[in-house]
Amino acid sequence: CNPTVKVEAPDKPIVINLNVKIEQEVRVKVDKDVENLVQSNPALF
Amino acid sequence: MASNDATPLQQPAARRRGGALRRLVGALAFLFLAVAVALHFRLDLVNRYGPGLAADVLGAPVAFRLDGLDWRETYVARLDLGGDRAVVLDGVRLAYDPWQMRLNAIEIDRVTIAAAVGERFSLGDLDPAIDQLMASAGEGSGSGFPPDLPRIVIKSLALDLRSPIGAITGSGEATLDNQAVVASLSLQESHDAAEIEGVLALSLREDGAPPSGTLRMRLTAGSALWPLVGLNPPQQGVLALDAQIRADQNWQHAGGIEADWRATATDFRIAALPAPLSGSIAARTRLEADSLAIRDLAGDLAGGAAADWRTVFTGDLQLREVTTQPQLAGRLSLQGQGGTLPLAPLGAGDITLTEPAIALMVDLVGATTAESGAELTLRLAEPATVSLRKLTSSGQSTLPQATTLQVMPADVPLLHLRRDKTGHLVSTVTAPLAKTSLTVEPGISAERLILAMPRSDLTLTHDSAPAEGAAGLRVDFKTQGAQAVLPTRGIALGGIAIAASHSDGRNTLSLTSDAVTGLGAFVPVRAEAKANLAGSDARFDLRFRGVDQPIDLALKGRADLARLRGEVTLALAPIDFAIGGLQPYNLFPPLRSYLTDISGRIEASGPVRFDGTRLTSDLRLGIEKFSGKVGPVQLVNVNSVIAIDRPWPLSTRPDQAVAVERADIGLPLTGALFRFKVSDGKRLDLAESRLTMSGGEVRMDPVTINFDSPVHNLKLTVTQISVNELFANLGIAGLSGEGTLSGAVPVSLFPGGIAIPAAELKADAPGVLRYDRAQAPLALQSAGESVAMALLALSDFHYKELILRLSRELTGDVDLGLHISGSNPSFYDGYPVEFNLTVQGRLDEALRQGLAGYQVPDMIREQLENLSP
Amino acid sequence: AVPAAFADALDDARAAGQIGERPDGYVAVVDASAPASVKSLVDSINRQRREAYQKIATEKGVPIEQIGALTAEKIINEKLRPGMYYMDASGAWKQK
Repeated sequence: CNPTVKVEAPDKPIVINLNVKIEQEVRVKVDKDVENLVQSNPALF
Repeated sequence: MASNDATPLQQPAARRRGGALRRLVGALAFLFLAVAVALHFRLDLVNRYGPGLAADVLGAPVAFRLDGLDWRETYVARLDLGGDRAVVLDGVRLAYDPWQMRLNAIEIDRVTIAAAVGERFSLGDLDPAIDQLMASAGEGSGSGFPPDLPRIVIKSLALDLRSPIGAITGSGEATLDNQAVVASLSLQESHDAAEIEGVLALSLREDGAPPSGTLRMRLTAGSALWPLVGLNPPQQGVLALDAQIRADQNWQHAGGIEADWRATATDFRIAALPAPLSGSIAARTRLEADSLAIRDLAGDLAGGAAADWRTVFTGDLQLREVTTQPQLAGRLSLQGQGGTLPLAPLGAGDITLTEPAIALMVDLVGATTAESGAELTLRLAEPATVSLRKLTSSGQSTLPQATTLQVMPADVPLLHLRRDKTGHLVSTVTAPLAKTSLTVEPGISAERLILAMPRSDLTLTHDSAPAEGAAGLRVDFKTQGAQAVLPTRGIALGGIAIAASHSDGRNTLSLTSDAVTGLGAFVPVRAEAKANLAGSDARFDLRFRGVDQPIDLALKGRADLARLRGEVTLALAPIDFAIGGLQPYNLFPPLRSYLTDISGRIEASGPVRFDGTRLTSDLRLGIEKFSGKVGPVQLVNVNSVIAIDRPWPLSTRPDQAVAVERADIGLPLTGALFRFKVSDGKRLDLAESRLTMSGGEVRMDPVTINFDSPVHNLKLTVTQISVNELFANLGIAGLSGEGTLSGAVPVSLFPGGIAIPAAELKADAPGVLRYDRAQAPLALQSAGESVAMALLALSDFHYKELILRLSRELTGDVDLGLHISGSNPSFYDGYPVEFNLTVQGRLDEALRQGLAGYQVPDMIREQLENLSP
Repeated sequence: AVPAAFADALDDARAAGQIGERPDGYVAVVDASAPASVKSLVDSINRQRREAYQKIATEKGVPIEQIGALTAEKIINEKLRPGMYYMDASGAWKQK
């Protein structure tokens, strides 16, 4: 995960952008299964 | 000169040996001898005094006139006996041998007898003399005929019998001597109602030929002579009897008499039989001392049970103790077949058999006793077959296909008849049926049921005078271990026991089956059914219980089968589902993909009315503490009592209420009270509903959910939900705050999942936001200087403006966009900060715990309580 | 595996614009006037897909919704050819 932060000039309000990405380990675990499910049943997917 | 001793008739006490006929003839002969002697003196003397003398002797008026008298012969032109000339003899010629004082011959040209046939055969005032003659004849019959009998010839005999219903005239001739008796007689009833012709040849010599004769009889319905044949007169028709009779050589000493006879009936109609009988029955019978044997009995009769019914039978019967207590024994084999046989005329209900055929061989045992009347049993000597091409019963169930039933011999007789002295007849048929399979077409529907029965018992009892309230005719049918299949519906019933009975138009049926499978997609159930049918009015009581699942469904009701109209009260006992235990798909497999991890109780009860295929109902479906996943939506603690006004296609009464403690549609909705109506089994109209979310109020617009359509869009309007609770519900660890948000949350419900395309909530008023850095994701905490500064700013951020954008994809990924502007007093001395925070990824699954202190609305709790008292 | 007869039935129906892919991983009839055979093809395909998703969901201990949605993403991104229909998150039909 790679959070990025940008800071701007003081006369205007300080603008803080924070981007939080929550770990997706579940998604990776399942992607492989979905992948070969679709490949192995061309007529069904 | 003839010896002049007193005439034998005046010696009342004297008992002459030699039989009655001898005494009669003797008296007659003596009378004429006396007259002949008197004539020697004066013919007119005799004519004047004779009659008076004879009248004294006979005790009844006598009139005669002698026309010729000499030593050898006397001739009386006419002799009248009896006041009203009951007996008239014309042309009486007596020939005698004066020397041996023997009467050689009596020749009578004509004998005319006029009698009345009522309760007795009466000759008017001659009766006393006749009775006396018969009495003395009776006692001497054993010794046979007198050896020295004169020869008697009756050239012609005329009979005129008057009976209460018509006159019978008869003619004939007879010759009688000590050699033989030959006589022939023919009787003619008035209006040609009956004729009887009989010829008898009887040798009197010891070594003479045994007596023989023929008897021919034709009786029509109007005849009075039916008692002669031992039958009641029929309503119409003719019975002809033709018999050859001969006796054994020693017939007088316990020898037998044989008769070969044939009886032919033409159009013979009697009340008990629906159709007149035509055909003939023949047999060789032999009468011995006290027994009667009927051998080579053969009959072929058309009609009777129905116009086109035909019965053919053969057999041998034996009757013993005929005169005292007749006992019958014998064997009869019978075949019967017909075209169309309506049973209603035979009193067996409105049933018609097409092309019925029956073949059986029975042993008969019959007995009559003075006190108890008569009893007859028929036992099957071998299995009997009953076959028919079709059975139809007045609109109700019929057997549409050819069926053959085999009736097995058993120790209980096939037929048992008991008739007591008063004529009270009780008949019982007991027919154990061998393996049978029937195709039954119940009247109410065209589906056919195939029923296979390893063994069944049919019993029929008919009581001619049933006791008060008892049934005249009762038919019972029982079977066990049977199987049945309803091919068109794929329904099969196993382990069936049936007990059906028909009595006086009322039918009762009880059926149980151990396993009914194929009821739609339901699991196998055990069935019990009881029904009472009178005509097409049926009352029934059905009960279905899961074979190994806790289903208990009772249906009790009444129906008019002819018009397929009626009402059923349904009661489904409470069913408790549990995660890891009973699940809906255990009861109804297709639910597997719609209802998962279900817990809670359902039950149902109420009346269902049907009129043809139109159904209406007032059913109550109770749902109590019901939780689980329904389609994509996770529900917690659902309670409702739904009024269903049509079970199929499903329709509920309007404005039904369901209380839901918690519904997760991407966001946790809690404390909901939905108002809805289901119609046509596939449309659910949801009225505007009020619920709470994250402490705030949510209003959901009315929506129509169509069960076929692939997606439904719900529109939630959220007011003053708590920032803090929302973040807790979204499971963003570490983020908390004070203040409330309002806005719109559109939700897309897919069968396979829920999406929140783009929800937007704004702060109602300035508030505070705190992000506890300790609970931030690890990656964030160590992400370097700028992130640390951001987290510092967020540690206690006082916002003036807060806009939250939320979207949830079907995959469960949530994108949260937070735009806040305000300041943190301890961050650059509260210098204004604009903060854009985006959070991506799988947020915690909405938390499953319920809403603290949730109470099921009273209205629904009361309905649940009085649903199952 | 799916009987050969289906092999191209799905693809043909998608190409003909009769069937579209839904974001929850199932297919749906696009125009209601499609013949009944299309309706029964949709039912049969969805039943088989649900069984497949259920198997993976139980194996991996992941909600079935997620398997369906991920498969939908893969089909819509990689298999649908231009002109074929898919439904967006709010339930509106779109063409690639």
